[in-house]
Amino acid sequence: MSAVALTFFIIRLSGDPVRLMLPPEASEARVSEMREFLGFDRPMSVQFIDYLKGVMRGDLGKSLYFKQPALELFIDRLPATILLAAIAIVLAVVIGVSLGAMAACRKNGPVDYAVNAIVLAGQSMPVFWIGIMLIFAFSLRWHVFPSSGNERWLSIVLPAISLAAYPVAPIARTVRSSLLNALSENYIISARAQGFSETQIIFRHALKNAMLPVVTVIGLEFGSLLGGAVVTETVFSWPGVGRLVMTGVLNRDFPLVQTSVLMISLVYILVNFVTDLLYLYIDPRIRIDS
Amino acid sequence: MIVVLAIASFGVRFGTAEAASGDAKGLKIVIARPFDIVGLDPGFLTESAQVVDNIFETLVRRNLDEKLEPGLALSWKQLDDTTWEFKLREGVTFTNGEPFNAEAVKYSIDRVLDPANNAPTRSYITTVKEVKAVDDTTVHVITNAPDPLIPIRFNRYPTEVVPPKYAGEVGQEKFAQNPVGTGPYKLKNWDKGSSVTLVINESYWGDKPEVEEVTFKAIPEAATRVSALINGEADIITAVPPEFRSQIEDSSTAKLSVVERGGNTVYVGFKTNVSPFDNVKVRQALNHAVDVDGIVKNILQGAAVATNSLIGPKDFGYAGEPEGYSYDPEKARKLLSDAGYPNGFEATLDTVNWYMKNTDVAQAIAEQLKQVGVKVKVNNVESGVYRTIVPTGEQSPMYTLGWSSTNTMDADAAIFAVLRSGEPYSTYGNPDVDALLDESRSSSDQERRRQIYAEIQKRVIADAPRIFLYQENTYYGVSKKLDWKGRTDGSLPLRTIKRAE
Repeated sequence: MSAVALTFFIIRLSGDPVRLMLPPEASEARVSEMREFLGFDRPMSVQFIDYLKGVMRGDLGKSLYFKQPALELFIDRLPATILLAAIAIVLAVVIGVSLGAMAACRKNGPVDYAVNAIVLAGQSMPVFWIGIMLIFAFSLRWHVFPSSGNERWLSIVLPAISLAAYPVAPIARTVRSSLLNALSENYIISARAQGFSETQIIFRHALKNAMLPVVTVIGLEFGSLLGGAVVTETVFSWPGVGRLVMTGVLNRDFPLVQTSVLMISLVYILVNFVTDLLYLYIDPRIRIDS
Repeated sequence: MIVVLAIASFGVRFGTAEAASGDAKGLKIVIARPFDIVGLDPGFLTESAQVVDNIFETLVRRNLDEKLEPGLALSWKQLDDTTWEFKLREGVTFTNGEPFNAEAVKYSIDRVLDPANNAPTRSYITTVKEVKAVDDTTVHVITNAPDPLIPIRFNRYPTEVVPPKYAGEVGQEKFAQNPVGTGPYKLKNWDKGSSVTLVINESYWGDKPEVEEVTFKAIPEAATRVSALINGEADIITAVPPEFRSQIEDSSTAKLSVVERGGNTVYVGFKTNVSPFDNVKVRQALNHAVDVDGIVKNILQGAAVATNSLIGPKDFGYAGEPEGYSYDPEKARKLLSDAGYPNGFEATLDTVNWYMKNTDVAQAIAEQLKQVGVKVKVNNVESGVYRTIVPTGEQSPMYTLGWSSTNTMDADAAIFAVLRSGEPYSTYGNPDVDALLDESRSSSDQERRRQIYAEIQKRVIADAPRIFLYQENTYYGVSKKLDWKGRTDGSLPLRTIKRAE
């Protein structure tokens, strides 16, 4: 709820949607007429209470820019973003866990350092830069993937890779450190004594026990993916909520931005709730009575 | 994964609009622009009319040379000071079968003028008092006061003609989603947030266009847009930033279309009632201190044309290139000294990303002003904030602004709003210039209007309410398979796009 209140006031202090809706040469009289028409001439507290009443009724208002119910717009674009984020997180987990495991196996060796460098690079490159480089390489030079849009299944490849680049780093690092912890546990020593190969030890025994902190990180990163989607979707012209939010902010579309922030907060809470449930599944010690 | 697949199969639409210039039969093309399309009702647009102007038509239109020619009206003339008569084309129908007639014109204008409908671009036609349907093919437009710009107003949104019966039945919101017009194209498909596809209107009254189907896509990022063009995913792209010019020119698939001085006339405005900018000598001094040619050559790489003209060369009222202030720091220092600022002063220059390389240009100006003792701090302002602070006068006493005749191609739109005292974007006020500006809006004698604009030009240069900079070019990227050139009025008439020879 505090996110809702914060958004409500911050966006109202940052510009005037009325002037953005009218042609620049519109007169002052026309501006105040439009402001009155939209109800923005009322005191902010009155507007806020009105807004809260609407939220209680499930009415989140109508987008000023698109002139459609804000919630409808958001829900319409949500599947595209969830699909993108889900594929990105799967990619990030596969790459991140492999890199982390490789690094842990060859601790302080050249592989470890190489992984560290890759991880660092992935985290420090801005998402939009990665995106544009991917477009230059894979669509302009080698013509493998389309540069933008959503017409073909192949269209999702580049945005998913560029969105995955950031969460790879924290996942790989967490896997590495928690795997190293696990590898020093007694049951690993006993597994070694029984003559299991190192690969078997890591994937059968250690990794499973090292997953708990990793799941936490993945849950948290999913939230940051939704943020990264704003940039990725703009670069690749992917029709999801990220671009919707961008359009909303640029046009000071109060109802649209408020709705988006509210809904994204809900998604974030939901993802973290699911993560918590996953603990129960992964770590039997957390289950209290069973 | 199951969740993912479920979402994919339910929600995400992978359309069929395949990019590339078509097959042997009909030509199908893709046009990529930076913005989404939000509504297709020309009476209530908050965006450019590039797309709707292919579905709808105005009474007057512009030909390939961008001169006015008959559109839905066959002819027009001024009957008296406040009455214009339009004779309409016969036998035209909307794509839903409704007939086009004088009643339709009246309906289309009335709904925009009706204050209850709160149309965003109503101000474009507020000089209109009433539209009278004299008979089926005759319309009289009555204005509140003499208005020489009526033919131009009826060439531009919001005056496109809509079908009264259908528009009235479905209401404003539905109409904007399912538009029906008389134009050469009609709406085929709208994938919200992604693309709009238009297809040829088989019953169009005019010549059949070569392009069968057009998909308008939104690609906000310029680098992506340029890649899509070169890659063949788009056939025409708008808003090419100057730094991508060579990439397009060097490609084997696309060519660059340059509209010289097709963009804004950019300047540094002064708040002429704020010290020290209330002193004309200071304003003149700063004009002498800035090397505009150098900025255009070195920073903009020739993507603009240095000019002292307030009006673009293709606009009505253009009177050639007037003499202005030469680059002469010595003279600048002397003028500052005469004005009582031998050691210069400090000031802030606001700028915004609406203009090419705005920050670099502002920094260069600051650097050059420093040479004459004026220390300028550059303040980059976010776009939405700038749109709020400039019209309310909350910007710094020096600020970047650009203006153009947009799609009217008349001096009125290019200068009135930024020079007439009391207008939201004007920080200048000279009673003589005000009187001339007012006369230019009411004189029906076009020769007199020409003289007025030449006179205004002269006075404004002497008063120097701004640092005169340059007019930007605009750039389009066009597939080599097509024959089309960008236009000064910024429109994209699909019927003029042809296959390359």
